Amino acid sequence: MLQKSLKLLLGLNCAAVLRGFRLGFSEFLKGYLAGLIAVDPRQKRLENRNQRELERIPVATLANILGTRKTTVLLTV
Amino acid sequence: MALLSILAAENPREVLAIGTFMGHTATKSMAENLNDALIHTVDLPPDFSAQQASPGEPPKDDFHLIAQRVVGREFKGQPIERRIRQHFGDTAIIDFHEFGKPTFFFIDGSHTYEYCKQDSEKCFALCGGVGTFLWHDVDESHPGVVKFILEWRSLGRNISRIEGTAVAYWKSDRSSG
Repeated sequence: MLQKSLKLLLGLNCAAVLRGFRLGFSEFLKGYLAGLIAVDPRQKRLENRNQRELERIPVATLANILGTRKTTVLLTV
Repeated sequence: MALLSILAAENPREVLAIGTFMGHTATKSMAENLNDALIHTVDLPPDFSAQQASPGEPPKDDFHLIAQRVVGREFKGQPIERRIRQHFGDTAIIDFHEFGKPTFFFIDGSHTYEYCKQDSEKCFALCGGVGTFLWHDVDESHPGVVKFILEWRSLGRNISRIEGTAVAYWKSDRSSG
């Protein structure tokens, strides 16, 4: 959580703050996001999003799936 | 290994593997682990090229793998070949009734959301809603597959990933709707 909050600070930069004072909050936000994207590229965030989506699918062990069924598997090379 | 263990436990009479590729995992190994089951497997025609995809079809992926394929190379000429029915065609077009009456499905064709969804839905219809489903490449590199599985889970279908693998599993019954 702390790491996430610190990450959000990465977008803060003088240019964005000055832009906010001169042109308003929405312009500050644009500058802030541009800064954030520059230091934390979208690709990484996309990968993180994919990872989060994947984690929404629960994991089962093979033993749970098989239950009491015992199997023998033939593997050839 | 997980696939083959579940396959051996289920011991189906007929299997459908979508995506033959070289024929090693989904076809040869499955045939070797079932004594007299019939394995249907489907892949794009050997001479398929990306340019052949027509605008009306769902988007495909893995064109680099499609280009590298020698479909069924691993089982051709082997004794198990007599229990393998190789089908060629695009699963968006092909009539799934060509695949007999399988109750065990290994879905590893195109990994776009559109293909994964329509392949799975056609398999579900083919078995009348009663079958065992395994999807390959359920990982962060294949968001289309993940999206589709989450969609089916939202319908109350209890699909789970198998620990330590990129395979997802679901066994449906008549109440699965």
